[in-house]
Amino acid sequence: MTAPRFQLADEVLRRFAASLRSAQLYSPGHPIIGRNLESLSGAFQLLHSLQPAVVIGLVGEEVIVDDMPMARADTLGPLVRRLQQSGVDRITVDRGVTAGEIATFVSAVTTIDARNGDGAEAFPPMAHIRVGRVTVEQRVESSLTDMATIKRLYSDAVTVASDVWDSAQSEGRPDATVARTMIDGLAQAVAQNRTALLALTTLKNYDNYTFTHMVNVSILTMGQARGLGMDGALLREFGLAALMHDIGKVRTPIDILNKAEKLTDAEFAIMKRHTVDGAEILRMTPEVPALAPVVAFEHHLRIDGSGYPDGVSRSSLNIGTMLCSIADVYDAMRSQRSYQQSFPTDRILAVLKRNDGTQFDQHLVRRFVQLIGIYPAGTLVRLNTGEVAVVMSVYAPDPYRPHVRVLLGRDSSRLDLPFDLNLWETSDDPQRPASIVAPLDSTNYQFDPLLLM
Amino acid sequence: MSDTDQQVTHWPARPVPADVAAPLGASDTARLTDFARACKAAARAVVLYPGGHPAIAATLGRIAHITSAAAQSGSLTITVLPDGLLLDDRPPARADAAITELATLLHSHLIGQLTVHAGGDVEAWRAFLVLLGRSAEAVRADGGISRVWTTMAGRHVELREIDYAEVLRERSGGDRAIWNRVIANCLQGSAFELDEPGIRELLGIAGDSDQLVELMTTIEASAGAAGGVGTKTAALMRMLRGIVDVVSKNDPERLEPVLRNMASAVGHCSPEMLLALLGPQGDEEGPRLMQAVISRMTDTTIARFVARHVIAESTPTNRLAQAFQTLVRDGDQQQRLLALARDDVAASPLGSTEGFESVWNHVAEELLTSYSDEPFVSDAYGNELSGARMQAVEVEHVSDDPPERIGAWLRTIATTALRALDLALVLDLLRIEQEEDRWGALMKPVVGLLEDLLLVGDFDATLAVIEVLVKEAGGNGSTARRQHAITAIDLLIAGTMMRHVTTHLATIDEAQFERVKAMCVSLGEVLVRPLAEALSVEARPRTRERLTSILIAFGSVGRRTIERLKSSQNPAVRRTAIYLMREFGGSDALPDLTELLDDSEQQVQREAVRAILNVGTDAAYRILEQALGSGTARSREAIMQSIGLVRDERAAPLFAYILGHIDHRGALAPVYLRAIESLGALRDPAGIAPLRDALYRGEWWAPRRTAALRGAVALALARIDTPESVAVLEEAVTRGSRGIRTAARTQLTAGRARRLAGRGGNA
Repeated sequence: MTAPRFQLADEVLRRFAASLRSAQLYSPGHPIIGRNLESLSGAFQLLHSLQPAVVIGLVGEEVIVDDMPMARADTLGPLVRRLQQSGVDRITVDRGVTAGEIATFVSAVTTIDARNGDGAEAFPPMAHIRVGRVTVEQRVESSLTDMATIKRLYSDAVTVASDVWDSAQSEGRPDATVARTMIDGLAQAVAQNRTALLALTTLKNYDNYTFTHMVNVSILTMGQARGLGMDGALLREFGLAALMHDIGKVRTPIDILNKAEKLTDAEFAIMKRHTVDGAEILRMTPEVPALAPVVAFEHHLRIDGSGYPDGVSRSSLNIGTMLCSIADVYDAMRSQRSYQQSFPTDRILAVLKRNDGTQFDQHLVRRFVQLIGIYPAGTLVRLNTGEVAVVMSVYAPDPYRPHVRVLLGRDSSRLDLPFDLNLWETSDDPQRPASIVAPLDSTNYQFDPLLLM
Repeated sequence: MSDTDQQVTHWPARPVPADVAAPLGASDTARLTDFARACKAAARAVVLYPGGHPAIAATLGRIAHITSAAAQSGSLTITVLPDGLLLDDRPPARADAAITELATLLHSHLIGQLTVHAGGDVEAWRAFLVLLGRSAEAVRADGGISRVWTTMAGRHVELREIDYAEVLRERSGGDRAIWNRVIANCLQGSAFELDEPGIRELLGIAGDSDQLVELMTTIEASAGAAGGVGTKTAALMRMLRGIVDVVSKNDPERLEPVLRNMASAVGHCSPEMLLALLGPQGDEEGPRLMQAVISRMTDTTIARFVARHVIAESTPTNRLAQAFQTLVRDGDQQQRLLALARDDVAASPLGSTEGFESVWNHVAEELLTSYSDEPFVSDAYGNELSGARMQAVEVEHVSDDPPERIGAWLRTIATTALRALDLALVLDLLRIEQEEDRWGALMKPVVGLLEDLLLVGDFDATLAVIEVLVKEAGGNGSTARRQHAITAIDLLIAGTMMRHVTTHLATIDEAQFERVKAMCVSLGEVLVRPLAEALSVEARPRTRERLTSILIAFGSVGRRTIERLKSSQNPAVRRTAIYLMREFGGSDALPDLTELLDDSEQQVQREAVRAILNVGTDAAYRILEQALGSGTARSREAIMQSIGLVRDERAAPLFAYILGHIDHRGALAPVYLRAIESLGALRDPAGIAPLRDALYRGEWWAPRRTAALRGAVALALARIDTPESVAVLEEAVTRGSRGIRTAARTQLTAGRARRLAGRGGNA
């Protein structure tokens, strides 16, 4: 390749990197994306004036244009990573390529993720651009319909949360790789068997409060996000952001963190710093998605402008922050560590609605109630006819009347064959259970209701 | 079916002690628990962390320590169960999650027994745990963990691997009797009574849907030989009930997975058999049991049930349609499950046959519409069956929120919004953070953000962040903070900033360019050198022009760049250096311009000459004179050409200077002559005096040269054609020597003739 050709190829790569990054950073239609794509198109035209086709290939971490390894500029790192992520190992761009095709291609590269099982067909057909892809085998998880598997997943997640915490404490930044792997599993479970995973958040584990809270908030946030139709990479970003929302507390003195009594004003001022600390830690961790530090920073801000960090205002809050805040308040109250006493869901929900609902988006709170229910899945309940049942899943239109599995008869004897009931369905039979009269403490029973789900 | 279920399957023949002994004492329980925790933690660490991670050293150190000769007396003999560990065949006194997890890990590698000898060091444990960290399938493919471990010469751990071949041999031989007794029980309708081994066998079967399918198939086939569908149904119902009874009594915690396995196994029945099972049973228990089973049939199970029979028959039977519609009563759900089934069928050989789509459309139509109006089961029972499978409505399926509201929520984290959030966060952190060290630690991500923004050309956002840094770098804040800001700016400039800026300079509009310029200037003179470096290698004219414009915006500081630019390989950049020198003005540039007079490119030389002329001082002209005097003929020619091309009054003083200072003889005679001609061409009155002096020069011993010289001077004066220049010629005619008179007269005569001709023409 002659010198001018090399320079033109270098220009193409630089423009490609800029176009790709702008498509990642800005929404479609943003003028910056248009400008970068226009420049990329121009760069291709110049190179095509010398040759009929341009072949960009990846060999390991190296970028090859035609047969020439290009200089390893720092800017190419993200480009290489993104191409690897979308499974692209070779791109051939023929002379005559249109700006529209280039825009389509760049957009596809930013969204297609081979790890999600996106195949070659995920790239739209383009007359002048051909994409060679490496096939990334989709990870096959064991069945997530089995509660024992989900419990193990949850337990592993709590362990990983503790590792993440430890790494943030000892190395100044959380081990995002481990966290990401764990979140991948949880996100898959949220997608496949959300009810079972949400049920696990009802377990009370005071010893590991910090880590179970991390995992619970992550699950509850992903559960809400899934309900809004989020999936794939975005769902995982929400999960990771929520998992790390309190990571700034690694810098909070342990005596304040563990203090059972009410904090003094000075102590509370120190405690409040965890939002800023968390944002700093996460902003300095390159592998963490952009949403994570934002959520860590904002999760105590409320939509009416109250909350902290002091002196920070947002005209509105983003959905990631709002979902995480709801999950955070709910789980913190539900597991009320300091007093070893948790609040029933209806009281927690009352808190979420307090101040006439000006602190939290009430539509999101309503959705949260529809998701979790007044009696969350996994809760042991007594029915109006005396039977004991475990809540199997919430019926969103009527969170008071879930789908239950009756485990004990009216005489408290264990049923040989537990049976399922939809409490929301009406019946003329007065003997048929129709409602829940009270949640029960499962520790008073000789079985684990979660394993009977 | 989960992996766990499969492991449980083979467990009846596992090497479990016949009589489980009493639990371990407290100290042995603690010993086993410690070992399990340490081993599990180290196993996790070697898999999760990169080689040099401190977590690996710490966890391996721990396991090596607790199994060291000092800490462990003798060997640990640990029996591995699927869900627990036994130490010397005795279970721990209390359960621990680490024991269960380690047991699961070891069992997945088919390790039945582990003997840990004291003294294994860190490396030995690392080798073993890395082996455990490999996928069980991969290790099996290499010959099994025992063989691999032996080849690795691992000494501190002895393994006993479960021989499943032997296990299976045992089942087909030794336990075949139990298997047969179960079948006989089902077929004969006798009371479902099994002894302890029989129960254990049945629990094993119930825990594995594959075995359950095998058992059901055997029973169906055996019953089919003896009677019709009724016989088969009764036998299968007896089997299902028998299993539920046994599990409920012996291991009620496992009832749920067993029912799920049953649901999966029932999906393997023929449509006839399934319908028979769903039909009235003559007692209340049957429907209840079937309801429990059907409620656990997953969508996948039902879809595969349909697909399996479509693939086998190529067309659906009425019985399949009946079974499908009995299992799934809701129209939407039927459509959804058929879509799932279609995927399965499409993946089969049938899917690759020509016209598959039309075949499938026919199948779907049959399954959805051909079913008789007469329901197979009563509406009440049908409702119960379908109600059992009815999914609770999930939050995303309630339409309380209009799409616009959901869209608005999602837009708050759209990529551009997220970028704005990130920017706001960074600006907030820079404002809020009071601790100097932490503020300093933010510089790295801040520089990263700026590089990102510059890469994509978001100059508004870039400017917002840079303003903060510049303010801190030049402000009255703390020294440390100022130093951090300065370091960040240095880092930014030393990084990819200029590369990104120059990339965009060629294409951005004027408004954007003004922002880039403002940003560059705000960073201060530290940017001047990188700008010059960028400019010195820049080939694109528009980019060069804009870089130059930025440099000029730096004022006199920009002059420092000249040294670099004038040594550029690119002549265009050297010309830019000259351009900058002209822009900055003053005589300071004369030494640099002097160097460029010897440039290999004539255009550069010409620009240098023009720049020197622009300076316009005696010192400047002296430089040109010296260049003319000391330069090569080529450079002299180039300079003179450059001077000759100059057509404005700025050059007149130079030509006058040449006439006054250089010798009209010798090597510079042509230069002298060219200066005379140029003064005439410029018609600048300032040239009259030096021309008059030149007119009177000459030597008697060189009459030709002198005549040529005087002729040229007279011509130049005539071209100036002002009263003053004509007066000089007239004076020469009257007072000059003969040669001077001749030259002056010639031009005066010619001038008069021109004037007359001009008047005539006008008349």
